[in-house]
Amino acid sequence: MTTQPPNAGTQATADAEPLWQLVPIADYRLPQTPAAGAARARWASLRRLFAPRRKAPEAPARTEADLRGLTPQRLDALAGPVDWTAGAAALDQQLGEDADGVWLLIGPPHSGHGALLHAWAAGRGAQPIEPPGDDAILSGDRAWLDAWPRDARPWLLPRLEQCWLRHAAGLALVRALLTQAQAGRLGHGIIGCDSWAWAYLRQVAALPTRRVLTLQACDGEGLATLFRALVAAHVRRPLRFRHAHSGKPVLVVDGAEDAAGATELQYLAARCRGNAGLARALWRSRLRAEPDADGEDAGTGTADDGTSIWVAAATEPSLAAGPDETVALVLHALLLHNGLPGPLLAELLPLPAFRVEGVLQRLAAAGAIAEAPAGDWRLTAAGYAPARDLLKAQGFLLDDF
Amino acid sequence: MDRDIASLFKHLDTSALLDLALILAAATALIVLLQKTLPWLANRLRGRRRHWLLAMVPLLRLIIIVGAFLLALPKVIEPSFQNMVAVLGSLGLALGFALKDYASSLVAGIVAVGEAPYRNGDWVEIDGVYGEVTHVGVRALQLVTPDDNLVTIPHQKLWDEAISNANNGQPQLQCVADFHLHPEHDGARVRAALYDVALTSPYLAFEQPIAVVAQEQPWGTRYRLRAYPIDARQQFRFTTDLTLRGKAELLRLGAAFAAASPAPDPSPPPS
Repeated sequence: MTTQPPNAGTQATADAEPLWQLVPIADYRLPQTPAAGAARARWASLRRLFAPRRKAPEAPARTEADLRGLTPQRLDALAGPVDWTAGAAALDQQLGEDADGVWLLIGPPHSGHGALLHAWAAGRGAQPIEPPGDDAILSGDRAWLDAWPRDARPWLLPRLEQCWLRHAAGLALVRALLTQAQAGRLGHGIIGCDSWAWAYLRQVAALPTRRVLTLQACDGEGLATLFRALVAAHVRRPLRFRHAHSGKPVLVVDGAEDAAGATELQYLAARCRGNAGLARALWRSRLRAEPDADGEDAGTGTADDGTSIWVAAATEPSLAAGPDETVALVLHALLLHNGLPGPLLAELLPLPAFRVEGVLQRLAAAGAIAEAPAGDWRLTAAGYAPARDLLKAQGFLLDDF
Repeated sequence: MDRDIASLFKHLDTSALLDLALILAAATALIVLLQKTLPWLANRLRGRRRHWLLAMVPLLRLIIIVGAFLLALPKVIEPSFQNMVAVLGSLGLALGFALKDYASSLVAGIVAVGEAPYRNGDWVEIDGVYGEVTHVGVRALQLVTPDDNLVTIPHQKLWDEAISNANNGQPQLQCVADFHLHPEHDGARVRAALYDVALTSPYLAFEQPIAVVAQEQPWGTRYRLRAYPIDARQQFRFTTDLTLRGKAELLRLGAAFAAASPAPDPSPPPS
């Protein structure tokens, strides 16, 4: 649990293009994969096909054993939580004069669009609305909808993905909600929705095509700006983030740039499909330091004396599904609902509960999913990209991001 | 006469025999390799790529066989037009009389590669046997039925049997779940509910259409829910999912199922 306040640097990038741009979803542009990165990804995919557990033979500049993980405090100083005040301001700007009615903000998992909406709601005094319970969804109970706030204040429904269930009886309530929202009977507010739920709801309900926004994709340059802004003010500069495999700088804060770093960040941006929140989570998980001479973790105490932080090679959990579709079914259900508790997941899938539990445990052990304190299983940042690849290969419905 | 026939053939010395053995061994090795590796690779893929790879096996094998035959022929006979006509004609005549059915299946196998009424990965019904085509051989094809039985069917069936192909080279095929309801019910609600049953199946291929077909019968109403799973191999799981969840949803709506079996056709009145 981190206690440090969000880094303020993400608010102002006065001399450059604003970091957070909200655009209609049709205008979302995926960052390009660098040619070397694309070839590397294809080669890795081919290698997985023939020899799933074969290790790369190259000798890295620093092996994982040479490096130590950083403490949460140190990680917060180097890649802390994003301050979404600037994002909320961008949202306000986008709403502009057309602030009446219902707007939607769509974002992929880990993108941080929920946090952005909460920052917006805090600034505008908007009233947050909790999603209905599972029983209300399955019984089609309209009490939740009838109790919608009718005052002049704007409202915020941050998680539309939790207002429905992929069940024959689980769609009526969300259809009624969307119908009323489009008819203008719900007043002024914003609905946040996960991109996977949005892709599914598009197939099963009449969705608005206007007033639907998303955060524009971040390319490598955008990530460099974000990661620099996330470094806390008290961290000593210049600070070099160096790749543990090649030894080359990936990112330099207040120092001379290196072209090699741009490629690495562009590859990260492409792998994350422009999802800045996901890229930040992966970046944070890869940061390492060399242990001090006395054996103490460089992430503690006076670690700012060092000018190099090592960026470990990207690793992704192996899902190794093979011809068995069970893993894909579980991952897809989790993504569509942006997390589900185990018992409810077993109800929604045509699989025995013990089998679902087994798959959940296997995926958790691989690091692809994690159980939230509330009991919901969600995909981890590291597990998201391979899960999407797996679902794409098996022909499942995908999101647009 | 014997001398004329003998003159068609070359004298097979050690070198020629060695060449023939090498051609035979290489062709056999290539075919075995092909038949092992392509299905292995295909079964690690899904969708179109899997079907395309599986369908390539018989075509590539035919190319190897024809190539090997063309390479071997000049080693055995003088490759003049008259010699070829004489030898191939005699061979055809012999096969036609002695191994008529076998030769018919071989020819049908070649036609099957060209016309492609079935390919590896297709779900077909031939002569009342339904299953997935797992191997299209030179003489016969092999199906694996839903009961996991391996059935070998000669290509010869191509000439005179109807071949029903459920997916025809595509990864998806249509599945149907039947529901038989008591005549007194709200048809519009049932149709909407069944449509949602399909939409909420985890196996559903969204890019394919969903249809609910109702048909009035003397005993009630028959509903057929037609939809496509993501992969043809999911068809039985998909149909089961539609049936079980459809039944649960209809019961939740209070619809009553037709209890009696369909009445037999009344016998014609005596004249």
